[in-house]
Amino acid sequence: MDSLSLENQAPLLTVENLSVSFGRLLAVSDLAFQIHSGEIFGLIGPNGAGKTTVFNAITGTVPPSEGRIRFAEADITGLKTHQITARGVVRAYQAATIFPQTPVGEHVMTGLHCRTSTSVWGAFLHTPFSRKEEVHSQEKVKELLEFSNLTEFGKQPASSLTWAQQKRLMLATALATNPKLILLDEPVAGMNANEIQEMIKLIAAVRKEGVTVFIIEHNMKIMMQICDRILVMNYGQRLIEGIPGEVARDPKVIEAYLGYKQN
Amino acid sequence: MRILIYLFLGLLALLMPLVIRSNYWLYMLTLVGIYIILVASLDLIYGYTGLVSLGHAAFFGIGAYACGILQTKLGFPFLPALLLGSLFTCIVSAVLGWPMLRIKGPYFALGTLALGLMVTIVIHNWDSLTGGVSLSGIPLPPVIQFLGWTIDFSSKRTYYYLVLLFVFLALFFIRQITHSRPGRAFQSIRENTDLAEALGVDILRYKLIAYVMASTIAGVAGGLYASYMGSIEPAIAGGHMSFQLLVMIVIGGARTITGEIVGPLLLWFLPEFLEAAQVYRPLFFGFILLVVIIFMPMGIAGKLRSLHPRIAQWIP
Repeated sequence: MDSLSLENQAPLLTVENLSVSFGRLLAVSDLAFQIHSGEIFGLIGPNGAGKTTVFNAITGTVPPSEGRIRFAEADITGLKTHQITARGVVRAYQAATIFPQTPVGEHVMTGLHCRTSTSVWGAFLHTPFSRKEEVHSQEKVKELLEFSNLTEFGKQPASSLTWAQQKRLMLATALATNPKLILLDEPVAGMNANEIQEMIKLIAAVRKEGVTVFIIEHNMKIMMQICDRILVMNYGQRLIEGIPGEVARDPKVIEAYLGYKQN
Repeated sequence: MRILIYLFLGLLALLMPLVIRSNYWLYMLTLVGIYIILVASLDLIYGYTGLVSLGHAAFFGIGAYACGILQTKLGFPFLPALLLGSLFTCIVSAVLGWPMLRIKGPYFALGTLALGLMVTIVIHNWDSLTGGVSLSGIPLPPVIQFLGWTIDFSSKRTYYYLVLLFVFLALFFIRQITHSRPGRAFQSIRENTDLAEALGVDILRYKLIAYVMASTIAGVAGGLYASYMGSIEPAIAGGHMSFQLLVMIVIGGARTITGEIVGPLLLWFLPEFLEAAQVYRPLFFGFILLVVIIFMPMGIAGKLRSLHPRIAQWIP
């Protein structure tokens, strides 16, 4: 998708003048950006720049002190997290955040919660609707397990997976909520080269399925490789936004990451 | 595989009165049945949803007193009293659960402890309604004439079957719920509340559903208990009772039907066989609890399951 057609579309996510403060600490200050449908958008910045707080604000786990967040042309500021998920914004946490004892298949199935509707009575009476929904859920889970290359682990508890597998499990579980926008929190952190390549392929496949991707990641090389556009933050503020090549060469970015250039 | 176990256990329970001739043992087994309903309902809150409730017996007490009062003071027959009493318990648990379930972790446990205390105090002091130290004269369900059969609940055997029917219903209900979408929501809350919320589970709503369902089932057990005993005391709603239920599910093994059955059976009958005086029961409870927590943190059923996957298949 070239940049021209992106300009013509209404943005999928618009963050306007976002500020988040914890007491007197201003974690995010007057931040604004837009993400368009179908792109892979990256957010980078040194530790403590406020990246995770931006994710928290978008998914409703931290209330913004100022500003608005619009998704698909609707204001989602102040909605509860589960309501935001239902609208199509989901966050894949880091691997430490899983359901540890839950079998991998059921783990993914939990992600289907907001797209299914079997009630307590439906479950008790085993109504035709609930049975149909359960069968459909099983199929969907099978698909997602295949997609994330975890089929053989379906019955094992999530905690028995390796770090990289747990990250893929989180991705599959988040995809089960059928999102329009997925937020990935350091998807390749702690992985070896092979695992990173596998994850990159997965992220590309996710985008191909029509899901817009928003990534926080420390691995600059990877970000340059996969992102369409990158926003750089430092001290809670926007430093620069642009295509990877521009961002990588920008003196402000180099300074933020490496300190002042000598001589 | 498990269906065979269910059938076997069901048949065993059905045939029990033919083997046991003694009214005393039948009486004890009936009480154990009521405890199984209670413990299974607590499992929904504690085992599946991961909320430590130290006040589950409060709803057992509320159900028992509601059914008892409806029958003794207002002249309702058994079945309508049981229905209305359970409905009352359901409403009370929803009203109390709505604010309480916002409290998290140990604070929730303390809140439920206070709840049990308050309920016993209210029952104890509202003597014009509750009879104070005890409410007596609660009638048995009326005799039913059905196709020439006479079903008389004054027989220990008949009441055993009545309770057994409710045990089957409660266990079946809980199994169905926990193996489905609502059950997965409960479990996701226990496993990782933040992640559950991020995946779109309405945490408060599902906590409330689990809490109200479990409390209502406890209320039904209370109604069965009230009519069986004929007289009830405020202590049935108290902390000691709640604690016993928690011990039973921990020892039996949370999230297993086996645990929900074995826990009450064991803690009810072992002291009988040991012929220990009532006074030593808490000591005995404490000792077993320590041993189980140290050597089998997942309870007896959990321990059996962990021995071998083959064995696990046979432990429902």
